[in-house]
Amino acid sequence: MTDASTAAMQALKIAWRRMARHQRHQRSYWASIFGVTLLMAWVSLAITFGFEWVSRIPPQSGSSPDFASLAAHNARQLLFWFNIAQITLISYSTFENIFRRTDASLLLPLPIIPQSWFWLIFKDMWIKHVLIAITGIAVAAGIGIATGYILAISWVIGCLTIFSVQLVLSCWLHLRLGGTLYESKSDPLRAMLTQGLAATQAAYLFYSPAFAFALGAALVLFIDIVFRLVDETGSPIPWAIVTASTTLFIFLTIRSAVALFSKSFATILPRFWETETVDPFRETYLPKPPRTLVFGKLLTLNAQPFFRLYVVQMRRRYRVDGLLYIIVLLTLSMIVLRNESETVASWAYDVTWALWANIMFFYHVPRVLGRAVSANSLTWSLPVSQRTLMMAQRLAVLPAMLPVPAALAPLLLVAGYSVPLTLLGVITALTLPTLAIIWGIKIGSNPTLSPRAFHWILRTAASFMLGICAMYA
Amino acid sequence: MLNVIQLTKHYRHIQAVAGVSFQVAQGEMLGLIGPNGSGKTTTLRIVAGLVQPDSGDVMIGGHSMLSSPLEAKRGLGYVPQELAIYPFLTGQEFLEFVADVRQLPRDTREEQIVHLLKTMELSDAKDRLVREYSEGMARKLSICAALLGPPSVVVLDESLNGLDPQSSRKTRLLLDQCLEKGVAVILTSHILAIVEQAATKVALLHKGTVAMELDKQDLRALAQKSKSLEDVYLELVER
Repeated sequence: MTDASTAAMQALKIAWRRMARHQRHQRSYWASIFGVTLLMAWVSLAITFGFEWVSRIPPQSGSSPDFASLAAHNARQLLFWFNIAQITLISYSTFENIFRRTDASLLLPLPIIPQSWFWLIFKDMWIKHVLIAITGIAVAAGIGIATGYILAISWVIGCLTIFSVQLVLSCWLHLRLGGTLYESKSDPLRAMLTQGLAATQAAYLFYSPAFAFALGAALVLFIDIVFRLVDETGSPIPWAIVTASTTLFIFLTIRSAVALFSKSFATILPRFWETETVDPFRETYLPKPPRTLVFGKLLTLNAQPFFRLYVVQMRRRYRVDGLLYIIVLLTLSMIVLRNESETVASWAYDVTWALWANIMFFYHVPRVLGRAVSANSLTWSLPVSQRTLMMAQRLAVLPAMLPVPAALAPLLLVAGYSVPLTLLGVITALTLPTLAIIWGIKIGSNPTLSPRAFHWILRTAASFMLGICAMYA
Repeated sequence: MLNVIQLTKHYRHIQAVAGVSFQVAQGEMLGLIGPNGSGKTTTLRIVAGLVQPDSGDVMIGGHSMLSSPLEAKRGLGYVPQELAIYPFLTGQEFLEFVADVRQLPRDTREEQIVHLLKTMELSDAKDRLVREYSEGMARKLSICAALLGPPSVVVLDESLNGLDPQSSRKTRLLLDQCLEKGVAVILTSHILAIVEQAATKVALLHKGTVAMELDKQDLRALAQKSKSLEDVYLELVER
């Protein structure tokens, strides 16, 4: 068994290495140049952002604020939100990386040593998230240039601690809750938790990203307190304790995650697929067709069936998306609750957050049209022109976007902005993500594009948009 | 009805199709056979408008797939080799969608949908999401969608392979009904017995070209000599 497993693992590694080499070979020279340039631009943006952020002086601070304490306050505030953003992302993306890997059905039947498989997944996950860490370090560099290395070191420790802990913690939690798929009891708590949105047996796993986020958020608060403590006392000891305890925590958690993976991943995965394949709502009900179907009447007769096709399918495929409105609402309420809304700079800051919420909300829309609800071989054999199809797809995603600017306008007005600025904010918040979506649809509709390239381009686009937002701020 | 004229297609350095031509008249079923990589699927994907040929053309009902693809596709029903189906529609909704796209008259479409679903034994599953279907059920639904109308040309790329014997027979029954209505059908399969039974003529693709064409008389002559299509196929391919 061990020899066979080692041989299988070795063969797999060689195959992956060859595939990677082949992909590198396929990638054009200019694409690489473009990628590196984009990365450098992104890093420069992050450095500028860090520098500008800690140097900014809110209007209520008076004419001669204490720069050091103000900078520390700004850095702490930025660290807090940066950490929140990264735990939001990591909590969910680790789940995807563990349970929805495209190579899983190929690897599962092979006699692979579970530990080695875990490390391959973990390495892959780490590489996929490394841009977050690079961004954090770049922002810290900007802070360092503006204020000196002490604040920058604090920032970088705070950011990387959350990054590494959240990666390991999320991974462990998803595996741990994956084990609950085998508990066959169907208690009222599970039924209440899923509300027909997922299989009852997957109730805890369904909430796993949210639990990971909650744990991460507690840690973010803890880091915030430590940052404050270091700032007030000037002693680096709290950071030393944090670093040491974090290292120990990561070591123990990862060991436990490896054990969980080795023990049950091969049995969890088929059960997970089963819960995904057979919908729990099959025997109860399908969601009613959304009211946005009336927008289809704006289209030509040829485009209407495609509009219905996408609207109906998206409603069924992404039932949980309604929950994302909470993120939008939280973001918008944050805008209202902030008490420094008089300047154009802070207005830009608010719009940045609104855009961030928008992008996060609509990130998956091109993915939906490109993969999950499409059947390209069939669609392109049907009598429909590319233009008609695109119109139907665009209109199908637009109604879902309308609530965001609709909510943004009154909130900006409540926050005391002038009407032209509010209108500009709304138009920006609506236009940029729309363009991103249209671009995404265009790319997603390209039959020659590999899924890997599609995701790469999408991520780049999202990062680029975020960069623009950061520049605003 | 369907006229494939001198198709060629390269994928980088590989010549997938090298001057393929054939015709399928109304009420005819062409069985397209050949070894793996002989260019069958590429030819059919060009016929369905999914791949642009390097040269040549496909005429469906007098319309060119290159210059007027919409008109050509209006007369086409296609079942691809891989499962291509919208997973979050129910079986009934899926067929209604295809009927809408083909702009079938409302008074007859319901009757057709019921008939197709019943023949393929999908009536009980018609209100379930397609993603919950087994692969065989999804394939049967794809065939129903391709036959809805019916269009003037139906293209089935390895579509009967995954079906159980009963469903396979029912599909052939439906295809026979289509042939009676004057539909031109192209069928590819590696199960030569199916092609032998169902097709009215056979084309053997080898290395991207039509190496041999057998019409009804040739097939009958083979049967009289106690030779099967498989014998002819193996003789030619192993030559």
